[in-house]
Amino acid sequence: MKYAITVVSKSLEEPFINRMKQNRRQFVSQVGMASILAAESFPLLLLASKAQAGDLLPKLPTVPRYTPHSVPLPLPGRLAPTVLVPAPGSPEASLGSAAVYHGIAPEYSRSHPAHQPYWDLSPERHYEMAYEDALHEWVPGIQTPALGYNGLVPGATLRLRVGEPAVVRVTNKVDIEASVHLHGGHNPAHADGHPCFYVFPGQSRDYYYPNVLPRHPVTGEADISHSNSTLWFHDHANDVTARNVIYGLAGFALLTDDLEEKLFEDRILPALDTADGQQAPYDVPMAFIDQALNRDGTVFWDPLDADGRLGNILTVNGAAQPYFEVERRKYRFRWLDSSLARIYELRIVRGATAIPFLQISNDGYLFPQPQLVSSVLLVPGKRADVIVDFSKFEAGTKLYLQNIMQQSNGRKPDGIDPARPMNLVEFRVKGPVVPNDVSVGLGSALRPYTPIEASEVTATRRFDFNRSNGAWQINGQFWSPFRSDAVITSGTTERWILQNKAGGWWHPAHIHLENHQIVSINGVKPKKVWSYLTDTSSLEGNMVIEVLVRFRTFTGPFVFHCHNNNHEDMRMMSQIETVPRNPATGLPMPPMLNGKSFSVDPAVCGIPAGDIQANPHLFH
Amino acid sequence: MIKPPSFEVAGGTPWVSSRIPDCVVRNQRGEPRRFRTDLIARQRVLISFIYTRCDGICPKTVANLVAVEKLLRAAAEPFRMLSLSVDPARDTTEDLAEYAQGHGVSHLPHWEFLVASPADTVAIQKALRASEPDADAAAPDLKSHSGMIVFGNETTNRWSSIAAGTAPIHIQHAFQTVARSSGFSSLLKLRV
Repeated sequence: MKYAITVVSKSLEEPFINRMKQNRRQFVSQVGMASILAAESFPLLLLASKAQAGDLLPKLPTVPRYTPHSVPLPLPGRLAPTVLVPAPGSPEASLGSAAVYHGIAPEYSRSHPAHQPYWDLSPERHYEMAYEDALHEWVPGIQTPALGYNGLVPGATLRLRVGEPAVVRVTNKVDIEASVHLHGGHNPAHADGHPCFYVFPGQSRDYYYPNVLPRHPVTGEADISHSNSTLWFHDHANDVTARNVIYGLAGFALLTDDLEEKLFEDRILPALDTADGQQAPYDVPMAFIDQALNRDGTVFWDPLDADGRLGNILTVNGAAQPYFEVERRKYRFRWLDSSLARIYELRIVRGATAIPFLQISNDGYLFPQPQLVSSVLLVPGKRADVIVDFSKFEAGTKLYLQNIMQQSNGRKPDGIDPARPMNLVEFRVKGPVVPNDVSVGLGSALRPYTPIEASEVTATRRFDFNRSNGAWQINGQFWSPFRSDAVITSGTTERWILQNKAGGWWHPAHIHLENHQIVSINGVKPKKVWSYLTDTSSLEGNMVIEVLVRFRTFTGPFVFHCHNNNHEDMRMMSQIETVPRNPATGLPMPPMLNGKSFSVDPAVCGIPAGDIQANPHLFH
Repeated sequence: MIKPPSFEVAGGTPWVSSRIPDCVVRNQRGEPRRFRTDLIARQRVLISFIYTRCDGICPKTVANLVAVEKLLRAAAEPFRMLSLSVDPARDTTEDLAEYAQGHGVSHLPHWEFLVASPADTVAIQKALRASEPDADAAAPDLKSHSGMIVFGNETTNRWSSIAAGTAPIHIQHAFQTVARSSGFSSLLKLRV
């Protein structure tokens, strides 16, 4: 056999081949015959003549011809609830079972020491999500082989509520290992999307999201400042995160608590849900990915690009430069940088004039009050919720959401240049002014903020991000899933000093399990919009960021890492372990990973001991 | 008749192996090899970058690789190890033989210590993105030579790289995951 290929049935294979031909035909009609002849002979010619030169790093393909703002902004639907059979936690769905090989988090059990009675006050919600092959049109008319959650790019939105536990049964129907990270969530280690807590091909894992707020360390009350609104899920498997994400494996998860639902009820913020549980029209998530396509419509992808992969097709919710018809009223946009390495400075313009707008959250954590801004910086992984008021623009006006951050290399941006804007979305204003609009404005009370206090801190740690002979290190150590770089007593607060010593490269530092509060950046108090909670801090070249983090609720191994997906896959990552206190002695329990032991409780990692999968796993 | 190498593919991003120079290299036994056709095509490989006079990271790299080699052999995993000298101006095949012997691996047929011309050495490193991005010199830069191991399965075009100083067991598992994977279904389905 020439190739070790998965067997694909003829019926499955044929549509793909036909699509290829179709894509190629479209290409012919666009750029003419001469180029296609060159394209046809491309591999052989190139190999024969130039391969010796060794300078054949694949070049970013040219942007396929399309008309910007010719397709409407795709609006992801909602993931429909279902009833899981066999039931989560049942013997038929437990670790090692045929139905759910990877089982469910031990915290799901009501007898687990972390599990509290109030976790189960509301009925549990069930969802199913599968890794599937798909065809997706990033660019109108070009069918691109993709990977999607339930075959959709982006995946259907997961709607979660604080106090309502949810179980998402994730099945891997593709032939690559997988792991789902709910970014911005506060969840058990088993369900957090640790890069080595896989969903193997052909297998399933029950992701248990109890949707509980962490408790305030002093008062013991639910810490409402820490309730997130805009989360997203994406693949997080070791080695292949970047590849899986650029092929389409990402989606939104929107979480509300009573406080935010009151803001909808009081008509301060636009409603999030329609009566039948769909996305309401004035709350609009937008995920930004810079895509790049080969001539045959496939995703441009070099598996050895470790700098940070940049694309040249700016897409929003999976479509290149869409348009969006807006009424003359206020909208809530939830902006997400789901790109691998692209950094955005986002603004809204009418002509050449920037229109100020309100930022209401950083990484989904609502501010106490909206902040007036003229642009927003997003690095990979980061979100910003904003309110844009279109009421003062006449029907027929066009406005643009633009990126003005220039970037020619995945390592870092070149800088802001408003003279060279890149349009993302064209807003087309329509209709009369909408009466009785929502009231959000400067001074609106949103989410009360109780700061994390320096007086709570029981440990200070320093993490240096550096580069040694082309390899990433944190504190001079290479990533190891067998070692905890910090063992943290659950229920305590720590001060972390994150320092970028890796030359001028930028590293968005993302800490799992808990958000953090920035105290200072290069010794200076951060600007207002960065002074509340965040889960991904932009560690720019040579920057030092001091943060405070409360570690609570869940124990086990978690990671923090650079959210430039390529750097992450090159293991610019560190593992921490939160350990519980021994109730009898009040002292921290010994960690599972202490640098000597190679074992993690199979129930915590969701991989049975003695696993005989074709893919070796990490925790025997 | 030799089967056509599997890097000849139509469509998609050109495969990693398609850009690897097919230059002549010599191993520690002085035997000539075509780098791409003889050593990479249809193989599962781990490629490292060393030089015999290195007193920096190379000793650790090779010590780690010795451990990885034992682990992979114990796991009955098919693999091939290539350690390319980044100091072709000084390293001879005899130096490499002595070096391999010093590490107790000179008898292993599946581990070759290689030296190429200076220009080819730079080209190989570039093609595998195993040089610092700013390095554009005609001769290899010894000080900043890659501390990464590039590994992959040529038949599936699944490649990755990992710091050579990573714990051997983790390198083993990373390699096995990549090497055993049938690759990326969407791309393979497109291969006619």
